[in-house]
Amino acid sequence: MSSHRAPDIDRRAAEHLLAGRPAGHATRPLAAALRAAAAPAHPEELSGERAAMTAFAAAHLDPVPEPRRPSVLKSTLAKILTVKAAVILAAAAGTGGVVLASTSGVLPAPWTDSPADPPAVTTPQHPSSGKPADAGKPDQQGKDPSPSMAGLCNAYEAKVKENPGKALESPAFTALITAAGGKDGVDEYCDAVAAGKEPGHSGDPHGKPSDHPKPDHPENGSGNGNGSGGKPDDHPAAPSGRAHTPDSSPEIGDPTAVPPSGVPTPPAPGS
Amino acid sequence: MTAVQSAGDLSAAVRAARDGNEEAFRVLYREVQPALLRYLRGLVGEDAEDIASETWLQIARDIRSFRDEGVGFRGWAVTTARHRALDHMRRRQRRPAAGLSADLLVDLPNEHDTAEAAIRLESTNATIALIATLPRDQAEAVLLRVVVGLDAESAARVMGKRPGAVRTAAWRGLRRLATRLDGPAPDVAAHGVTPAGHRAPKGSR
Repeated sequence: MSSHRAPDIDRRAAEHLLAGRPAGHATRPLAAALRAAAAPAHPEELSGERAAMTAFAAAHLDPVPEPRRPSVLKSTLAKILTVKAAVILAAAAGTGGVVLASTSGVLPAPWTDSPADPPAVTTPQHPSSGKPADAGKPDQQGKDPSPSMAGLCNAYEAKVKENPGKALESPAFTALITAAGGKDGVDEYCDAVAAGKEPGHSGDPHGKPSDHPKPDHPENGSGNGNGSGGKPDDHPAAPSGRAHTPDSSPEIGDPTAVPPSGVPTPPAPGS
Repeated sequence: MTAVQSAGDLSAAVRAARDGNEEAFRVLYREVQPALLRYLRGLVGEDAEDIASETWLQIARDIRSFRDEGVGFRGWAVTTARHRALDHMRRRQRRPAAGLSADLLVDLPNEHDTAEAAIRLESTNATIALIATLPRDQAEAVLLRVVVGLDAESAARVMGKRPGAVRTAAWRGLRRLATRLDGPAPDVAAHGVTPAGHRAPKGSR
Protein backbone atom coordinates (compact mmCIF):
# COMPACT_ATOMS: atom_id res chain seq x y z
CA MET A 1 0.00 0.00 0.00
CA SER A 2 2.53 2.52 1.09
CA SER A 3 5.76 2.73 -0.78
CA HIS A 4 7.80 3.47 2.30
CA ARG A 5 7.75 2.27 5.85
CA ALA A 6 6.97 4.43 8.79
CA PRO A 7 10.13 5.95 10.17
CA ASP A 8 11.61 4.27 13.16
CA ILE A 9 11.67 7.16 15.56
CA ASP A 10 14.22 6.84 18.31
CA ARG A 11 13.94 8.60 21.62
CA ARG A 12 16.17 11.43 20.59
CA ALA A 13 14.18 12.13 17.46
CA ALA A 14 11.04 11.97 19.57
CA GLU A 15 12.35 14.63 21.93
CA HIS A 16 13.18 16.83 18.97
CA LEU A 17 9.69 16.44 17.57
CA LEU A 18 8.05 17.04 20.94
CA ALA A 19 9.96 20.27 21.23
CA GLY A 20 8.85 21.36 17.78
CA ARG A 21 12.23 20.82 16.14
CA PRO A 22 12.73 18.93 12.88
CA ALA A 23 13.99 15.39 13.16
CA GLY A 24 14.84 14.42 9.65
CA HIS A 25 13.17 13.87 6.36
CA ALA A 26 11.43 10.66 7.30
CA THR A 27 9.48 12.30 10.08
CA ARG A 28 8.18 15.21 8.06
CA PRO A 29 4.54 14.04 7.94
CA LEU A 30 4.54 13.60 11.69
CA ALA A 31 6.20 16.97 12.18
CA ALA A 32 3.54 18.60 10.02
CA ALA A 33 0.81 16.97 12.08
CA LEU A 34 2.35 18.12 15.34
CA ARG A 35 2.62 21.62 13.95
CA ALA A 36 -1.07 21.58 13.20
CA ALA A 37 -1.81 20.32 16.70
CA ALA A 38 0.15 23.21 18.19
CA ALA A 39 -1.05 25.83 15.75
CA PRO A 40 -1.86 29.33 16.98
CA ALA A 41 -5.35 29.91 18.28
CA HIS A 42 -8.19 29.56 15.83
CA PRO A 43 -10.92 32.13 16.48
CA GLU A 44 -13.51 29.37 16.85
CA GLU A 45 -11.64 28.04 19.84
CA LEU A 46 -12.17 31.26 21.76
CA SER A 47 -15.94 31.27 21.61
CA GLY A 48 -16.25 30.87 25.36
CA GLU A 49 -14.41 34.07 26.13
CA ARG A 50 -17.42 36.10 27.13
CA ALA A 51 -18.66 33.43 29.51
CA ALA A 52 -15.22 33.18 31.07
CA MET A 53 -14.98 36.94 31.49
CA THR A 54 -18.41 37.11 33.09
CA ALA A 55 -17.45 34.37 35.48
CA PHE A 56 -14.30 36.26 36.34
CA ALA A 57 -16.20 39.47 36.97
CA ALA A 58 -18.66 37.66 39.20
CA ALA A 59 -15.95 35.90 41.14
CA HIS A 60 -13.95 39.04 41.73
CA LEU A 61 -16.49 41.27 43.33
CA ASP A 62 -14.62 42.53 46.29
CA PRO A 63 -16.45 42.01 49.55
CA VAL A 64 -14.91 45.26 50.74
CA PRO A 65 -13.97 47.21 47.64
CA GLU A 66 -11.10 49.61 47.66
CA PRO A 67 -12.07 53.18 47.06
CA ARG A 68 -11.73 53.13 43.32
CA ARG A 69 -14.02 54.57 40.71
CA PRO A 70 -17.04 53.33 42.55
CA SER A 71 -19.90 54.43 40.40
CA VAL A 72 -18.45 53.28 37.11
CA LEU A 73 -17.38 49.98 38.55
CA LYS A 74 -20.62 49.29 40.26
CA SER A 75 -22.90 50.26 37.48
CA THR A 76 -20.87 48.20 35.04
CA LEU A 77 -20.95 45.22 37.31
CA ALA A 78 -24.62 45.70 37.87
CA LYS A 79 -25.33 45.63 34.18
CA ILE A 80 -23.08 42.70 33.50
CA LEU A 81 -24.12 40.66 36.45
CA THR A 82 -27.81 41.13 36.53
CA VAL A 83 -28.22 40.23 32.90
CA LYS A 84 -25.37 38.09 31.76
CA ALA A 85 -24.48 36.17 34.86
CA ALA A 86 -27.93 34.72 35.12
CA VAL A 87 -27.76 33.51 31.55
CA ILE A 88 -24.23 32.21 31.75
CA LEU A 89 -24.63 30.55 35.08
CA ALA A 90 -27.87 29.03 34.04
CA ALA A 91 -26.20 27.64 30.98
CA ALA A 92 -23.29 26.36 33.01
CA ALA A 93 -25.59 24.60 35.42
CA GLY A 94 -27.54 23.06 32.60
CA THR A 95 -30.84 24.03 34.13
CA GLY A 96 -32.00 27.55 33.91
CA GLY A 97 -35.05 27.12 36.04
CA VAL A 98 -33.91 28.23 39.41
CA VAL A 99 -31.91 31.23 38.38
CA LEU A 100 -34.52 32.47 36.00
CA ALA A 101 -37.27 31.98 38.51
CA SER A 102 -35.38 33.86 41.14
CA THR A 103 -34.86 36.84 38.91
CA SER A 104 -38.25 37.00 37.35
CA GLY A 105 -40.20 38.07 40.35
CA VAL A 106 -42.23 34.94 40.90
CA LEU A 107 -40.81 34.42 44.34
CA PRO A 108 -42.55 35.84 47.38
CA ALA A 109 -42.59 39.51 48.12
CA PRO A 110 -39.34 40.85 49.33
CA TRP A 111 -39.29 42.71 52.54
CA THR A 112 -42.16 41.85 54.78
CA ASP A 113 -43.19 38.25 54.35
CA SER A 114 -40.24 36.51 55.77
CA PRO A 115 -40.52 35.36 59.38
CA ALA A 116 -36.87 36.09 59.86
CA ASP A 117 -37.49 39.73 59.07
CA PRO A 118 -39.36 41.39 61.87
CA PRO A 119 -40.94 44.46 60.34
CA ALA A 120 -40.80 47.98 61.58
CA VAL A 121 -37.60 47.85 63.45
CA THR A 122 -36.88 51.36 64.46
CA THR A 123 -33.91 51.01 66.69
CA PRO A 124 -30.44 50.44 65.43
CA GLN A 125 -29.62 46.77 65.44
CA HIS A 126 -26.07 46.67 64.39
CA PRO A 127 -23.56 47.67 67.00
CA SER A 128 -21.64 49.28 64.23
CA SER A 129 -24.25 51.90 63.56
CA GLY A 130 -23.15 55.36 64.40
CA LYS A 131 -19.55 54.45 64.82
CA PRO A 132 -17.32 57.15 63.47
CA ALA A 133 -15.49 54.58 61.42
CA ASP A 134 -18.69 53.81 59.59
CA ALA A 135 -19.69 57.36 59.06
CA GLY A 136 -16.34 58.27 57.67
CA LYS A 137 -16.05 55.61 55.01
CA PRO A 138 -17.72 56.95 51.96
CA ASP A 139 -17.34 53.84 49.86
CA GLN A 140 -18.37 51.10 52.14
CA GLN A 141 -20.05 48.19 50.52
CA GLY A 142 -23.20 48.50 52.55
CA LYS A 143 -23.97 52.00 51.40
CA ASP A 144 -24.86 51.16 47.87
CA PRO A 145 -25.42 47.50 47.93
CA SER A 146 -28.01 46.69 45.38
CA PRO A 147 -26.05 46.10 42.17
CA SER A 148 -23.21 44.27 43.84
CA MET A 149 -25.54 42.26 45.98
CA ALA A 150 -27.55 41.14 42.98
CA GLY A 151 -24.32 39.96 41.41
CA LEU A 152 -23.20 38.24 44.56
CA CYS A 153 -26.54 36.52 44.79
CA ASN A 154 -26.20 35.26 41.25
CA ALA A 155 -22.73 33.99 41.97
CA TYR A 156 -23.92 32.45 45.19
CA GLU A 157 -26.78 30.62 43.54
CA ALA A 158 -24.46 29.19 40.96
CA LYS A 159 -22.08 28.06 43.62
CA VAL A 160 -24.78 26.47 45.69
CA LYS A 161 -25.78 24.26 42.81
CA GLU A 162 -22.26 23.12 42.45
CA ASN A 163 -21.34 22.66 46.05
CA PRO A 164 -24.23 23.29 48.43
CA GLY A 165 -22.30 22.73 51.62
CA LYS A 166 -19.40 25.00 50.99
CA ALA A 167 -20.76 27.82 48.94
CA LEU A 168 -20.68 30.35 51.70
CA GLU A 169 -17.19 29.51 52.84
CA SER A 170 -15.73 31.60 50.09
CA PRO A 171 -14.51 34.95 51.36
CA ALA A 172 -16.14 36.46 48.30
CA PHE A 173 -19.48 36.09 50.03
CA THR A 174 -18.56 37.79 53.26
CA ALA A 175 -20.40 40.91 52.26
CA LEU A 176 -23.41 38.89 51.24
CA ILE A 177 -23.51 37.08 54.57
CA THR A 178 -23.13 40.34 56.42
CA ALA A 179 -25.91 41.94 54.45
CA ALA A 180 -28.18 38.97 55.00
CA GLY A 181 -27.49 39.00 58.71
CA GLY A 182 -25.92 35.57 58.75
CA LYS A 183 -25.38 32.49 56.67
CA ASP A 184 -28.88 31.21 57.34
CA GLY A 185 -30.42 34.28 55.89
CA VAL A 186 -28.65 34.34 52.57
CA ASP A 187 -31.21 32.35 50.62
CA GLU A 188 -34.07 34.50 51.74
CA TYR A 189 -32.06 37.59 51.28
CA CYS A 190 -31.19 36.73 47.70
CA ASP A 191 -34.79 35.87 46.98
CA ALA A 192 -35.66 39.30 48.27
CA VAL A 193 -33.01 41.01 46.20
CA ALA A 194 -34.14 39.19 43.10
CA ALA A 195 -37.78 39.95 43.66
CA GLY A 196 -37.17 43.46 44.87
CA LYS A 197 -35.32 44.70 41.85
CA GLU A 198 -37.71 43.29 39.36
CA PRO A 199 -40.97 45.25 39.75
CA GLY A 200 -40.94 48.34 37.68
CA HIS A 201 -37.31 47.93 36.66
CA SER A 202 -37.03 51.41 38.17
CA GLY A 203 -35.44 52.75 35.03
CA ASP A 204 -32.34 53.47 36.98
CA PRO A 205 -29.25 52.49 35.06
CA HIS A 206 -27.50 51.83 38.32
CA GLY A 207 -30.13 49.36 39.30
CA LYS A 208 -30.67 51.11 42.57
CA PRO A 209 -34.15 50.51 43.88
CA SER A 210 -35.73 53.76 44.75
CA ASP A 211 -38.90 52.70 46.41
CA HIS A 212 -37.79 50.62 49.31
CA PRO A 213 -35.08 50.57 51.92
CA LYS A 214 -31.57 49.55 51.12
CA PRO A 215 -31.57 45.83 50.56
CA ASP A 216 -28.68 45.26 52.85
CA HIS A 217 -31.06 45.63 55.72
CA PRO A 218 -34.07 43.63 54.71
CA GLU A 219 -35.24 43.51 58.29
CA ASN A 220 -35.77 47.19 58.05
CA GLY A 221 -39.27 46.41 56.98
CA SER A 222 -42.21 48.54 56.15
CA GLY A 223 -40.14 50.89 54.12
CA ASN A 224 -41.70 52.42 51.05
CA GLY A 225 -40.86 55.95 51.73
CA ASN A 226 -42.39 56.54 55.10
CA GLY A 227 -38.95 57.10 56.43
CA SER A 228 -39.72 55.80 59.88
CA GLY A 229 -37.82 52.62 59.29
CA GLY A 230 -34.60 54.39 58.60
CA LYS A 231 -31.62 53.41 60.62
CA PRO A 232 -28.64 55.60 61.05
CA ASP A 233 -26.33 53.38 59.09
CA ASP A 234 -28.67 53.42 56.18
CA HIS A 235 -27.76 56.96 55.52
CA PRO A 236 -24.40 57.51 54.10
CA ALA A 237 -22.53 60.32 55.60
CA ALA A 238 -21.50 63.15 53.45
CA PRO A 239 -17.97 62.76 52.20
CA SER A 240 -16.84 65.27 54.75
CA GLY A 241 -17.30 62.56 57.30
CA ARG A 242 -19.38 64.68 59.57
CA ALA A 243 -21.11 62.75 62.33
CA HIS A 244 -24.81 62.25 62.05
CA THR A 245 -27.19 61.65 64.85
CA PRO A 246 -28.97 58.35 65.15
CA ASP A 247 -32.41 59.88 64.96
CA SER A 248 -31.84 61.95 61.90
CA SER A 249 -34.14 61.11 59.06
CA PRO A 250 -32.33 62.14 55.96
CA GLU A 251 -34.84 60.75 53.55
CA ILE A 252 -37.03 63.63 54.44
CA GLY A 253 -35.51 66.99 54.44
CA ASP A 254 -31.87 66.05 54.52
CA PRO A 255 -30.40 67.18 51.25
CA THR A 256 -26.98 65.91 52.17
CA ALA A 257 -28.03 62.29 52.19
CA VAL A 258 -26.56 61.55 48.85
CA PRO A 259 -24.36 58.55 48.43
CA PRO A 260 -20.86 59.84 48.08
CA SER A 261 -20.24 57.34 45.35
CA GLY A 262 -21.82 59.74 42.95
CA VAL A 263 -24.92 57.70 42.36
CA PRO A 264 -27.75 60.17 42.43
CA THR A 265 -30.54 59.41 44.82
CA PRO A 266 -33.99 60.21 43.60
CA PRO A 267 -35.52 63.07 45.53
CA ALA A 268 -37.37 62.08 48.66
CA PRO A 269 -41.08 62.74 48.72
CA GLY A 270 -40.73 65.57 51.17
CA SER A 271 -37.98 67.54 49.52
CA MET B 1 1.43 29.74 21.64
CA THR B 2 4.55 28.02 22.81
CA ALA B 3 4.93 28.06 26.52
CA VAL B 4 8.51 29.16 26.50
CA GLN B 5 8.19 32.39 24.65
CA SER B 6 5.24 33.71 26.59
CA ALA B 7 6.02 32.38 30.04
CA GLY B 8 7.11 35.79 31.26
CA ASP B 9 4.04 37.51 29.92
CA LEU B 10 1.82 34.97 31.56
CA SER B 11 3.21 35.39 35.03
CA ALA B 12 2.60 39.13 34.85
CA ALA B 13 -0.92 38.51 33.62
CA VAL B 14 -1.50 35.97 36.37
CA ARG B 15 -0.46 38.47 39.00
CA ALA B 16 -2.73 41.14 37.61
CA ALA B 17 -5.66 38.74 37.21
CA ARG B 18 -5.31 37.64 40.80
CA ASP B 19 -5.82 41.26 41.74
CA GLY B 20 -9.01 41.29 39.72
CA ASN B 21 -7.75 42.79 36.47
CA GLU B 22 -10.17 41.69 33.77
CA GLU B 23 -7.95 42.42 30.81
CA ALA B 24 -5.22 40.31 32.32
CA PHE B 25 -7.66 37.46 32.70
CA ARG B 26 -8.64 37.87 29.08
CA VAL B 27 -5.00 37.53 28.09
CA LEU B 28 -4.76 34.33 30.07
CA TYR B 29 -7.89 32.97 28.48
CA ARG B 30 -6.76 33.69 24.95
CA GLU B 31 -3.33 32.32 25.63
CA VAL B 32 -4.34 29.11 27.33
CA GLN B 33 -7.80 28.20 26.09
CA PRO B 34 -6.82 26.82 22.65
CA ALA B 35 -4.35 24.37 24.17
CA LEU B 36 -6.76 23.54 26.96
CA LEU B 37 -9.54 22.81 24.51
CA ARG B 38 -7.35 20.66 22.29
CA TYR B 39 -6.05 18.73 25.25
CA LEU B 40 -9.62 18.09 26.41
CA ARG B 41 -10.65 17.11 22.91
CA GLY B 42 -7.97 14.47 22.99
CA LEU B 43 -9.38 13.15 26.25
CA VAL B 44 -13.15 13.47 26.02
CA GLY B 45 -13.83 14.20 22.37
CA GLU B 46 -16.94 16.19 21.65
CA ASP B 47 -17.60 17.07 25.26
CA ALA B 48 -14.43 19.12 25.36
CA GLU B 49 -16.20 22.45 24.92
CA ASP B 50 -18.41 21.87 27.93
CA ILE B 51 -15.55 20.73 30.12
CA ALA B 52 -13.49 23.71 29.00
CA SER B 53 -16.30 26.09 29.99
CA GLU B 54 -16.58 24.49 33.40
CA THR B 55 -12.84 24.67 33.76
CA TRP B 56 -12.78 28.41 33.12
CA LEU B 57 -15.55 29.01 35.62
CA GLN B 58 -13.41 27.26 38.18
CA ILE B 59 -10.26 29.08 37.14
CA ALA B 60 -12.07 32.41 37.38
CA ARG B 61 -13.09 31.55 40.90
CA ASP B 62 -9.87 30.02 42.12
CA ILE B 63 -7.23 32.14 40.48
CA ARG B 64 -6.93 34.25 43.60
CA SER B 65 -5.66 31.27 45.50
CA PHE B 66 -3.41 30.06 42.69
CA ARG B 67 0.14 29.52 43.83
CA ASP B 68 2.68 28.45 41.29
CA GLU B 69 3.87 25.06 42.41
CA GLY B 70 6.27 24.42 39.61
CA VAL B 71 4.01 23.91 36.63
CA GLY B 72 2.99 27.50 36.09
CA PHE B 73 -0.44 28.81 35.25
CA ARG B 74 -0.63 26.60 32.18
CA GLY B 75 0.04 23.49 34.19
CA TRP B 76 -2.42 24.54 36.85
CA ALA B 77 -5.13 25.30 34.33
CA VAL B 78 -4.60 22.06 32.50
CA THR B 79 -4.60 20.14 35.78
CA THR B 80 -7.94 21.71 36.62
CA ALA B 81 -9.24 20.68 33.22
CA ARG B 82 -7.83 17.20 33.65
CA HIS B 83 -9.62 16.62 36.93
CA ARG B 84 -12.88 17.63 35.34
CA ALA B 85 -12.26 15.45 32.33
CA LEU B 86 -11.46 12.45 34.50
CA ASP B 87 -14.63 13.03 36.54
CA HIS B 88 -16.53 13.22 33.32
CA MET B 89 -15.06 9.97 32.05
CA ARG B 90 -15.78 8.31 35.38
CA ARG B 91 -19.42 9.31 35.08
CA ARG B 92 -19.49 7.97 31.57
CA GLN B 93 -17.65 4.86 32.74
CA ARG B 94 -15.17 5.20 29.95
CA ARG B 95 -13.25 7.43 27.65
CA PRO B 96 -15.28 8.08 24.52
CA ALA B 97 -14.14 5.90 21.67
CA ALA B 98 -12.06 8.10 19.46
CA GLY B 99 -12.96 7.27 15.92
CA LEU B 100 -11.09 8.78 13.08
CA SER B 101 -13.56 9.27 10.30
CA ALA B 102 -12.63 9.42 6.66
CA ASP B 103 -13.62 13.07 6.69
CA LEU B 104 -11.16 13.81 9.42
CA LEU B 105 -8.38 11.95 7.72
CA VAL B 106 -8.74 14.14 4.69
CA ASP B 107 -8.13 17.13 6.90
CA LEU B 108 -4.87 15.89 8.32
CA PRO B 109 -2.05 18.23 7.46
CA ASN B 110 0.14 17.43 4.54
CA GLU B 111 3.85 17.08 4.89
CA HIS B 112 4.18 19.67 2.20
CA ASP B 113 2.31 22.18 4.29
CA THR B 114 4.89 24.74 5.13
CA ALA B 115 5.32 26.21 8.53
CA GLU B 116 4.44 29.61 7.14
CA ALA B 117 1.12 28.60 5.64
CA ALA B 118 -1.84 29.31 7.83
CA ILE B 119 -2.97 26.14 9.50
CA ARG B 120 -6.66 25.61 9.22
CA LEU B 121 -8.90 24.73 12.13
CA GLU B 122 -9.80 21.50 10.37
CA SER B 123 -6.18 20.42 10.21
CA THR B 124 -5.71 21.10 13.89
CA ASN B 125 -8.85 19.22 14.84
CA ALA B 126 -8.05 16.28 12.59
CA THR B 127 -4.64 15.93 14.17
CA ILE B 128 -6.09 16.13 17.66
CA ALA B 129 -8.60 13.45 16.67
CA LEU B 130 -5.73 11.30 15.43
CA ILE B 131 -3.87 11.76 18.70
CA ALA B 132 -7.06 10.87 20.53
CA THR B 133 -6.92 7.38 19.02
CA LEU B 134 -3.78 6.67 21.04
CA PRO B 135 -3.95 4.94 24.42
CA ARG B 136 -4.77 7.54 27.01
CA ASP B 137 -1.37 7.94 28.64
CA GLN B 138 0.30 8.29 25.26
CA ALA B 139 -2.29 10.76 24.04
CA GLU B 140 -1.98 12.80 27.20
CA ALA B 141 1.79 12.81 27.11
CA VAL B 142 1.86 13.96 23.49
CA LEU B 143 -0.81 16.61 24.05
CA LEU B 144 0.76 18.03 27.18
CA ARG B 145 4.17 18.22 25.58
CA VAL B 146 3.26 19.35 22.08
CA VAL B 147 -0.01 21.22 22.44
CA VAL B 148 0.20 22.65 25.94
CA GLY B 149 3.93 23.14 25.64
CA LEU B 150 4.93 21.62 28.96
CA ASP B 151 8.31 20.01 29.47
CA ALA B 152 8.52 16.40 30.55
CA GLU B 153 8.79 17.31 34.22
CA SER B 154 5.73 19.55 34.23
CA ALA B 155 3.73 17.10 32.14
CA ALA B 156 4.69 14.38 34.60
CA ARG B 157 3.45 16.49 37.48
CA VAL B 158 0.15 17.11 35.76
CA MET B 159 -0.28 13.40 35.02
CA GLY B 160 0.97 12.25 38.41
CA LYS B 161 3.69 10.12 36.85
CA ARG B 162 7.45 10.14 36.75
CA PRO B 163 9.10 12.19 34.00
CA GLY B 164 10.69 9.06 32.55
CA ALA B 165 7.31 7.40 32.22
CA VAL B 166 5.92 10.44 30.45
CA ARG B 167 8.88 10.58 28.07
CA THR B 168 8.35 6.96 27.19
CA ALA B 169 4.62 7.41 26.73
CA ALA B 170 5.18 10.39 24.43
CA TRP B 171 7.80 8.51 22.44
CA ARG B 172 5.52 5.50 21.96
CA GLY B 173 2.70 7.81 21.03
CA LEU B 174 4.78 9.50 18.35
CA ARG B 175 5.84 6.16 16.87
CA ARG B 176 2.28 5.06 16.67
CA LEU B 177 1.22 8.36 15.13
CA ALA B 178 3.94 8.09 12.53
CA THR B 179 2.70 4.65 11.58
CA ARG B 180 -0.85 5.88 11.23
CA LEU B 181 0.22 8.85 9.20
CA ASP B 182 2.25 6.62 6.93
CA GLY B 183 -0.74 4.78 5.55
CA PRO B 184 -4.48 4.79 5.96
CA ALA B 185 -5.95 2.64 8.65
CA PRO B 186 -7.75 -0.42 7.23
CA ASP B 187 -11.26 0.77 8.06
CA VAL B 188 -10.56 4.09 6.46
CA ALA B 189 -9.18 2.44 3.34
CA ALA B 190 -12.47 0.59 3.06
CA HIS B 191 -14.13 3.95 2.62
CA GLY B 192 -12.01 4.62 -0.38
CA VAL B 193 -10.04 7.53 0.94
CA THR B 194 -6.80 8.13 -0.85
CA PRO B 195 -3.74 7.78 1.27
CA ALA B 196 -2.26 10.76 2.98
CA GLY B 197 0.13 12.53 0.69
CA HIS B 198 -2.02 11.95 -2.37
CA ARG B 199 -4.85 14.17 -1.37
CA ALA B 200 -6.10 16.86 -3.60
CA PRO B 201 -4.48 20.09 -2.57
CA LYS B 202 -6.70 22.47 -0.70
CA GLY B 203 -6.36 25.55 1.31
CA SER B 204 -3.57 27.98 0.81
CA ARG B 205 -0.29 26.62 -0.32
